[in-house]
Amino acid sequence: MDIKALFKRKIVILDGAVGTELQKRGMPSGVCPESWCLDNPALLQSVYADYIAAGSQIIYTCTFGANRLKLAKYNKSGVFNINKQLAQIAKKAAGKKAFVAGDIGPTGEFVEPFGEIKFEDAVNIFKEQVKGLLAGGVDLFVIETMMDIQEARAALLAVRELTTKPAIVTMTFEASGRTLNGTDPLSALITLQSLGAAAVGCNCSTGPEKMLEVIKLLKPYATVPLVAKPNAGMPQLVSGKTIFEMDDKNFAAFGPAFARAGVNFLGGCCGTTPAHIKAIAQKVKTAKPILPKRKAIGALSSARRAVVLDKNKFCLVGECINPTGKKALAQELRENKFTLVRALAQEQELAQAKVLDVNAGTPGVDEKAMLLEMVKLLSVSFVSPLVLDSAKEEVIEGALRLYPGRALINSICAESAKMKKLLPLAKKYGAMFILLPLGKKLPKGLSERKENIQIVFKAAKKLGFMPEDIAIDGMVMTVSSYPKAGLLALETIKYAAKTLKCNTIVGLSNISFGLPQRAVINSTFLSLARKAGLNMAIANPMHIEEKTDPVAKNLLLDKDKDAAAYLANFSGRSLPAASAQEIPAREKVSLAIIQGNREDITALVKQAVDSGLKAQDLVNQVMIPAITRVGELFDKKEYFLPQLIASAESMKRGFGFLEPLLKGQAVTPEKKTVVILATVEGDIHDIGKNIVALLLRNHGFDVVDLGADVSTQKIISEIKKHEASIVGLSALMTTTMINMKKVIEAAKKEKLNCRFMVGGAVVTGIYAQTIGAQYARDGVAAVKVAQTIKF
Amino acid sequence: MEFKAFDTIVIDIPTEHIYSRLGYARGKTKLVKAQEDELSRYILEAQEFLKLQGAAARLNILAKDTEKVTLEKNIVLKSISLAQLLKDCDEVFFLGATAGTKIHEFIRNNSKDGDVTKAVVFDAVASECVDKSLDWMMEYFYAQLRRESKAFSRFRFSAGYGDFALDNQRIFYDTLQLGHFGVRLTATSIFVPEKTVTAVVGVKKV
Repeated sequence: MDIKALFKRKIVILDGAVGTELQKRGMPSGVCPESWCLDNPALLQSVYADYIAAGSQIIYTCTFGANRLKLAKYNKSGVFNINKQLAQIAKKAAGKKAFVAGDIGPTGEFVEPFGEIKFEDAVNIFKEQVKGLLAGGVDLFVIETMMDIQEARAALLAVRELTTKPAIVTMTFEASGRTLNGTDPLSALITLQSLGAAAVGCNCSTGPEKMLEVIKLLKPYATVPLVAKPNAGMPQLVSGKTIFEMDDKNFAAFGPAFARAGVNFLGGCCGTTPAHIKAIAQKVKTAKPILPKRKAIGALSSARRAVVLDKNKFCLVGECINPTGKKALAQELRENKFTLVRALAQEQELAQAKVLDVNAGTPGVDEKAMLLEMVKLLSVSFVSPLVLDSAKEEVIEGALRLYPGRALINSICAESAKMKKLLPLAKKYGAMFILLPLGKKLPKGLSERKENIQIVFKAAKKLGFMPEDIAIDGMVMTVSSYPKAGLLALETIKYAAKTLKCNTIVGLSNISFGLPQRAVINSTFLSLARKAGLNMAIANPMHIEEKTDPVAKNLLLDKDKDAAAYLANFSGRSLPAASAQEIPAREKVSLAIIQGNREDITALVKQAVDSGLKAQDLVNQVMIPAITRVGELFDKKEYFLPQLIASAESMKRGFGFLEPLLKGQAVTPEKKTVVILATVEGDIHDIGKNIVALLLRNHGFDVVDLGADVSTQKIISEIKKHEASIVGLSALMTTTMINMKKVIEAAKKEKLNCRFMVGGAVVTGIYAQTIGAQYARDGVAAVKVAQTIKF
Repeated sequence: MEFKAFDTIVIDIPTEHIYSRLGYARGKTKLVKAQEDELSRYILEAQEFLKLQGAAARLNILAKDTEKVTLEKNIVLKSISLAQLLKDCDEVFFLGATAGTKIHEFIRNNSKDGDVTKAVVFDAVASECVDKSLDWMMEYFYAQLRRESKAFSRFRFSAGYGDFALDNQRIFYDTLQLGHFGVRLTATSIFVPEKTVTAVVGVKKV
C-alpha cells in the first residue's frame, strides 16, 4: 500500500467508533469484543459497510484488545488466529472500496522503565498480533490509543521488524495535554516519526476542538502526515443523562479547520457514528491536503520533553554524567548505586542544560548493562533528552533500543568498521548522531577532517539521513599541546555549519585541558565558536558562560606563542571574589537566620562571639528578633513553610553553638517555661507537632516532646514530672481529636496547673474553646499562644 | 470483581500544588534564587524516595437505597452522602495509592531532629503525589470506560469524610490488598505509611 499516494491527493477518511456500533447491534456489556465479533461476523461487516458507505477509506480491524494480555482477561487464547480471522472479516467487507488497517491497541500494562513489562516482552506480545494480522491480509497497521510512549515504540518496532507495511501511530492525550505517563504531543511526534511511523497523531480522550490544537502544534515539526480521530466532544450531563455533546453536524464543522491545520488522516473515536464520518468527509472532500513541510528535523526527545535544534540558538548538553576522571561516580557505579547520577542530572537540569550526555564506561562495570540502568533511571526521573555516549557499538545498540525517545549518539566517525555498524543502528532507531571527523588516524589538518566528514556524510546519505539528523563535532583538541587547536576547531565548525548546513557540536572543556583558569578559556572559546556557527556544546552547565577575554582569545587564535601571555596573566591567580561589603557580625547572624542559611550560621555566630558579643546579648538582641521577624513574614505570607523551617533550623544550629556559652555566662540560670507536646492516642501524625517544637525551642521554651500516639495517662504523668506550664496537643483525625478532651479533663481531675493549646488539620478555634484550650493553627501561632500563656 | 495492581505509577511531579500545599501565595511569597534552587533540589530529591504504587478494584453495585450501597463480595457502604453520589451508578471503583515506606521513613526520621526543612518539603511532595496517583488511576480506567460508553461519577469519596466513617478504611485496605505494598492499618484506621489514600468513585452508563 502506498500511503503517500493516498494522502497526497486528499485528506484520507478513517472510520469512527466501532464499539458503540456493535453495542447497537446487540453486543452485550462486559463480553470480549473480539470473540463476539468472531461469533457474529455479519454484524461486524455491517458496521464496516456503514462506515465505507459514509466515506471511510481505511477501516480498522476489530482487534484493539486482541493481544495476549487483554485476551487472557476473558480466558481467551490463540492470538494469531483471532487476529487473522478478524482481519479477514475486515478484508472481505472492504473489498476494493477501502484499505484495512490492522488495529493494535494498548495491553493495559506499562513497559519498562515506566512499568513492569520488559521491553522485549512487549515487542514479542505485539509481534504475535502483527503476525496474525499480516496473515489476515491487512494493508497497513494502526497503533492507537497509546498512553505509554514506550509501549507505542514496542508496537512500532514489532511491526517494522516483521514487515515493510506502513504503521500509523496515534497517542491519546488527556485534558492536561499529555498522555497518562506525561508524554506531550511534540515529544511523541519526534520519537515516533524518527522511529519510522508512517503517520503520527492522536485519537480519543478529547473532542475535535482540543485535538485541533494538537494538530496545529505538531504541523511545523512533522516530517510525516498527521492523524486525528477525536471523540464526539466530551460527555456532558444533560437532564440527568450523560451524553456526548457533539452531533454529526457540529462534529463535521471542525473538518475545514482540521484541513487548514494540516491533518492528513481524519476520522472519529468514541461517540462518533457513520453519520459523523459522512458529515466530516463531506466537509473536507475538496480540501487540498497540506503535506509535511519538512523532510527532516534536528530534534531530540525524551518521554516528556522535545528539544528542537535551531542553528541560531544554543543548546547546552550537560557533560557531567561520565565516570571518566570522577572517582566517586565510578565507585558508585561499581557498587550499582545511582545517587550521584541523580544528583548530577538534577544539578545540570537546574543549571539549564537542555540535553544530558550519559556515559557508563569505567573499569569494573558492565558498560552495556550499566548504561541501560542509567537510561532507565534518567528517563523516569528527569525530562532532558539524552546523548548516548560510548565507544562500543553493542552498548549504543542496547541503549537505543530501550531509550523512550529520540537520542543523539556520541559518536560516529569515519572508521569503516564502526561506521558500518553504527549508521544502520542510528537509522533503525531514528537517532541523530554526532559525526566525529576522525578516521583510523588523527587527521592532521582541516582538509583531512573534511575528507572524514564526507566519508560519513555520504554513507549516511545513502541510508536516508539528512543534514538535520547530524551534528558535526568540531573535534576540539587541547590548545596547550596544539596551538592551532582553537583555529582548527573553529574552521571545522564553520565548514559544517555554513557549507554542510549541519548542526555543530563541541566537547568544550577539551580546549583548556592543562591550563590554569580553564573557565576563562572555555567561555572565550564558546563565544568564538558561536560566531563561527556552533549551536551545541557538551560542557559543564554549572561553569559555563559566553564571555570573551582578550588574552584567552589571542591564545585560541594562535597569537600567543607558548601561551606566554596567558600564563603570565592567569597562573597562580584566583579570580577575584566579589568584593563583600563589610557587614557587622551581628547583622550577618540576623541575615543568616532570616534567610535560612543553615550552612553558615554556626561560623557566623562564632564570628560574632569572637568579635566580642556576649552570647546572651546575641540571643536576645539579634537571634530572637530575627526569628520573630521570620514569624511575621510567615504570617503575612511573604514567607511560606520551607522558609520558616529553614530559618528555624538556622536558629537552632546557632543556638546549639551558643548553649555551652550561655550556661557559662549566666549568673543565675534562667528557668525556662516547660512545654509538653504530644500527638494524642491513636494518632500517628507528628510533623506539625515537630515544627511547633522547633519553633518553641527557638523562642527559649524548654520543650518535652512525647511523640505520637501518646496515651492520656502518659501525658498526665509527664506533666507532673516536668511541672509543665503549657501542654500542646496535636491530632489530625476527627476520630482522634476527641482524645484531646480526655487529656484536658484528666488534667482538671488531677488539679494540674497547666494550660492547653491544641492544633492539627481538623482542629478549629471553636473546638478548642469547647474543650477549654487555646487554638494554635500553626507553629508561629503556637509560639504566640505559648508566649501569651507564659506572661 | 476486577482487580488491578500498579506496582509503578509514574506521574509528573505537581510542583505548583506542592508549593501551594507549603503555603506559597502567588504575588505575596518572596523567594530568592538560592531558596528556589534549594526547593527545586529537594523536590527532585524527594523522587528518589518516592515509590508510588496503587491498586484498583471494579465492583458491581448490587443494591442501593438512600443510606447505603451494597456491592458484590458482601461489601456494604453506609453513608447517605455516598449513596447520593452513587444513585445513578451501576458500578464503583475502589482506588488506593501509597507513596511508599522510604519517603515515610525519611520524613519521620528527619522531621524531629534531622533535616526538618527537607522533611517538610518531602511531606508535601508525598501528599500531592499520592493524590495525583488517584487521578492517574482514574485517567487510566477512563480510557477503558470511554470505549464502554461509561463515565465516572462527578466526585470521589474517601473514608473519614462527611458521614462515610473512617473505619471503612478496613474495607478498602482488604479489597485493594494494600498490604502487598507494605501498607498497614492501625486500630484507629490510620494507614501506615501515612501517605496512603483510598477513595471510591462511581461508574455510570453514558
